Amino acid sequence: MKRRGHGVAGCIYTATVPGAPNPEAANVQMNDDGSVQIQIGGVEIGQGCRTVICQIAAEALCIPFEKVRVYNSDTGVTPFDMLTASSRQTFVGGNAVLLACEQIKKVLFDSTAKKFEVPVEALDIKPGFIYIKDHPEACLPIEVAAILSYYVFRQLPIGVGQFYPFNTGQLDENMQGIPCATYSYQATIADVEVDTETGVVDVLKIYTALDCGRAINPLLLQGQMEGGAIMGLGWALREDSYPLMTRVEGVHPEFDPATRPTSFADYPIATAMDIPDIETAIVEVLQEEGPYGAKSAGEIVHNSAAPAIINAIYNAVGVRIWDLPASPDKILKGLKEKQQLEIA
Amino acid sequence: MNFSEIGKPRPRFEGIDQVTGKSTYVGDMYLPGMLYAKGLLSTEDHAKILEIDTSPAKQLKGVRVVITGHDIPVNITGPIVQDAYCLPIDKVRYRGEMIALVAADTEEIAEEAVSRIKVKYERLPAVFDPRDALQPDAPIVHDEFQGTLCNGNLILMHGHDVSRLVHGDVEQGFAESDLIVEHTFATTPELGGAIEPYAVLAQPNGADGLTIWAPSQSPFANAGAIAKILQLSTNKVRFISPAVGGAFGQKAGYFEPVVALAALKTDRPVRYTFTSKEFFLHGSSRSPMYLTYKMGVKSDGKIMAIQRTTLTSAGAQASVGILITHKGGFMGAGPYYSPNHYAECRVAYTNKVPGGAVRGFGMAQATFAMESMMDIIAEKLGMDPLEFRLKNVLCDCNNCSPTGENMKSIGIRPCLEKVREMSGWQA
Repeated sequence: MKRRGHGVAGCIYTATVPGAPNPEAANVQMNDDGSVQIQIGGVEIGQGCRTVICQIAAEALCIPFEKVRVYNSDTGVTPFDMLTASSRQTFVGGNAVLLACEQIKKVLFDSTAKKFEVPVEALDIKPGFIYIKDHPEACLPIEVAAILSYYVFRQLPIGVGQFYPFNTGQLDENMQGIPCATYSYQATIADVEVDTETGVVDVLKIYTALDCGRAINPLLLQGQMEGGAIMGLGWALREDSYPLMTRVEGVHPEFDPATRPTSFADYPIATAMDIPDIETAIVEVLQEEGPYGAKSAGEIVHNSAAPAIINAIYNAVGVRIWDLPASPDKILKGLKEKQQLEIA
Repeated sequence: MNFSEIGKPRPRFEGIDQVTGKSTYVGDMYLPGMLYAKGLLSTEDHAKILEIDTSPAKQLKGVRVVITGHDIPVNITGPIVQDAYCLPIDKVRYRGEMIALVAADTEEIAEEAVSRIKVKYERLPAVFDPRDALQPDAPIVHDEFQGTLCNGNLILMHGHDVSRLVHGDVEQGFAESDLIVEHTFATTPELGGAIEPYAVLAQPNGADGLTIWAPSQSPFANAGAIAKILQLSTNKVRFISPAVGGAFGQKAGYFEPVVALAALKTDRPVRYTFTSKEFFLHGSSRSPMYLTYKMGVKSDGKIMAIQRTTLTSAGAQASVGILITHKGGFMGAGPYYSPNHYAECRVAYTNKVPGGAVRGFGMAQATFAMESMMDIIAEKLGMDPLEFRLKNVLCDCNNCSPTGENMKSIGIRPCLEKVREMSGWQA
């Protein structure tokens, strides 16, 4: 018989390495044609940090996204990055880039003020132009402000940003204090179908909502959320690199460290055949210290799918899974125990 | 606020090239005169190394260098504590640990040379489960760090056997509770599952030092570690992370210092590309944990106390196991408020591949335990599990975290309400 159930789980996750200073740096240079190149130490690992960093710089400098380019993760060339982990890059990298962009803006404003012979305070910036607030028709294209800076007013539009998150530090001996710079939140609901003959669980649908502050790039966030849910599904139902070892009731007698999976053929991550419809939603609860209010997304997306699936299995067939993964043998064993209990 | 760029759904710069096979990964790179490296991996879980005879490998035509731990200037490293041998000399502590490295003219010669290296082991009893590792008669993984980095197999965290979180008074919280529930959960070592196996290319640059290419998430930390191991200054190690074929925390550097040493010794570029099998056996995985959660609640569903005891299996090196344990410790009560918290967290050496950072870092394990508990308690109270969560979420009026931090911009309530609406949830 096939039985359906649904389960929910919430989660919280941090950004930045707990208790560490988490320094980050960015060099940003506007060229004399108004295009921009950024150097950051951070690594592009599929999370999209290069794309997001360019979006942040384009917004800050009021120039088109296409005019920004990022060069990254080369210790001989790019400035320091502590590491690309702990869901840090948007928060710390984004802030470092914003600080560098502010320096560039100051140079561009200085040059424009000299060109128009007005005080800097009289100026403002809008997409493509720096203009006089009281006379918006008096505007200078940003690339002109750049070339004037280079060769007429003798000040290069180059910014060097360094960022340390505020207030974070080592926890005390009772683990009290402020460990991390920011926290994101997520909730997931999973619908499952459990085959009571075979013990196989089919995840039918996942609904998930993420609060990571401002969504700098909603497409990449959707990718993170879908990827995280799929990874969580694999952890909930199948993945184990030391099969049979980790059991609440004790190591399984058949555990053998010599027989570990050696390829994706015998390590069954979720494939397209297993992946359900995943409906994602973004909830923006902004944090003022984040770039444009952004928090973090990279890791939290993994964490609530597995418990939502485990809770849905219980809702479907009344079997509680105490140790992962919820493999068919554990579900059948649980069903049998439940049956014996009911008879007794 | 009006934005011109923030909020735009831009595809990733690298996306098209990566899915159409145009990106250049380290395994695709080739330099003139490049040698191919291969490592000898331990076939024992725990054993004394009595002898490593590399001479049959060295005699093979086309073999340029064979490196063992004796050749490495500073043969110890580690991201948090220094307990990881680049190549172990006295004993192996897990199956898959690299013992020696060969660089040769072709991959086939390197493989053949590795198979000719003779290692004499004296097998030792091994321990895999961290609960077993804490038994008085357990085999000791690191005899040499007793009292400095560990007591028995317990790894010291900030100098202590156990890391404690104390907030409020859990005993009082339990006394005020109408229902107390306690359960133990266990999590598995999940692999990051990156499709690209690890690879390292090292190029010697004479007096300028060397350049390393590897798909690492931490090029600056790796450059620093390589410099220390090879006794160079950090500015002589240029570390480049080019295209990365998935990482998930699993790619924080593996054997760059040894490949770098091979390049310096031969004055030739050397590349080591892991096979899928090597990456599966040698690559780090999510550190498994045992988690015992005891929670007290009022009959109206208000959480009064959360007490947690966790034990992490770090594997044969502490790696980031200390940080993972710590993080699960201070955040492991999830996005919920309780006036009283207590936690005891421990981390132990075992004869397994060192656990590493995998996406979710300590909180994946804790979330599984905590969210299971939330459902178990809701059922006992006869409450809708989603309503039970909403009743206890961190919010502006109850914003104090287990570490005593007053949280702000807390989004758990709108997230729960959103998925309830999306799914048409009915308890």
